Amino acid sequence: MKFIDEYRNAEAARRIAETISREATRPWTIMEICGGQTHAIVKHGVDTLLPPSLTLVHGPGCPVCVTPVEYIDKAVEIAARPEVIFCSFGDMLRVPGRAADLLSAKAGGGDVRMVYSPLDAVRIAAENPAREVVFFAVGFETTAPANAMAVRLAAARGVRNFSLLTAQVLVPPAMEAILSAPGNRVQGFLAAGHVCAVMGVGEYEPLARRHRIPIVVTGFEPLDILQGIALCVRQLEQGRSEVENQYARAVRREGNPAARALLHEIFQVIPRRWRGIGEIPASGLGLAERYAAFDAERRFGPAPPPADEETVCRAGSILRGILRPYECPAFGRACTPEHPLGAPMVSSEGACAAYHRYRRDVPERPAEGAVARG
Amino acid sequence: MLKEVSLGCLPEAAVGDYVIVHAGMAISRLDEAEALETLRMFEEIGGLASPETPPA
Repeated sequence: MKFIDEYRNAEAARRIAETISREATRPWTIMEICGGQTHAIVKHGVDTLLPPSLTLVHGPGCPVCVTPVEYIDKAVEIAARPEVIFCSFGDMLRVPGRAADLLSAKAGGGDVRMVYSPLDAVRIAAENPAREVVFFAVGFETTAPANAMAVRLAAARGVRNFSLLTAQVLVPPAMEAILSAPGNRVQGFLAAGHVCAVMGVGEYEPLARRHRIPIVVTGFEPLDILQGIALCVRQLEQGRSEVENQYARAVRREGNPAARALLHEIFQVIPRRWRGIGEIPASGLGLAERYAAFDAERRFGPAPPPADEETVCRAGSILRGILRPYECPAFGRACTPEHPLGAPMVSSEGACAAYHRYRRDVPERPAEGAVARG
Repeated sequence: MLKEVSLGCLPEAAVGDYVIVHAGMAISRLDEAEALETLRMFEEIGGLASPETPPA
């Protein structure tokens, strides 16, 4: 397929990997932000082509993984109401809350529907005027335009029985939090190409400057990722800390101006808790005051207060790049894609699901206590 | 596979374009010239011959 096959050439991949091995004279640790990139790396074995001195750690860019547990609980509660049609991306249905997940709400009689787009949920609302239709608006800057467009459409068409349960998050504040955390070992970032396709690259420049860290906006095919790593290593070796754009075929400097204007109109920046990570200032989007009528929390009450989750699952350390999935004591034993303990084992973008699905070479489990490197 | 996609954030998209879609919204149009430039850079960074060179 055009724009895909050319970026999967195995011979070219080997040659770029050789260049990386030749140029990397010191050990470096690079984090890819996006769960889509994590999956591509593990699926295609990109990491196995790299020199041992180079460590790739997987970032928090998995929307369902970072959605706070109190929002899952709130979703389950709303979905159980008889007047509600609860619409969600499929990934969210099996993410465990503290008591239940959305699939069990459906099994218990809730009208829970998997949709491909929030725009489908607006259509369902228009077709069912006697019901309340709630869409679970999770995700990063990539899904935010669709969620914003759903609200704009509902407002324009007078679809008043539609609302969003909003847990939208923003990537750059999470990168800031990772870099500022004690014990951080990330020295370079592969930024998420599709997030930048919406938002542009400007907001990464202060991060690169302040933390003196190279940030390479990177695509999702194996050659894109290898080239992103090569550019990042080159910067590290040369002592540069710039924002570079590997993914220029999709990412303009200014991003998508129409999408940015839409986000600005519908949403406002708010603090947000990230599951497994904690609260990050100015890291979320909530509905702007003008569109508060479409806020499911105003209709059905606010999400319950957060509480610590007591579980053997180490999702938080995995989302911050401190542990690898196979270093969690539950990985592949108590926690599998069929019976997930944590969100990263559920999502198609979760690091645990990627390792479980594609890896045949997971090393022997290290001794407990020997794994904490962060 | 046939899916309905909103071009509300990509008014410049035209028939024949390739676009990136997230959750039913087209968010970016693929730029052919930049796509070819990236392929050229793969060759440069990997030290490959130019695409015009016939395979050995």
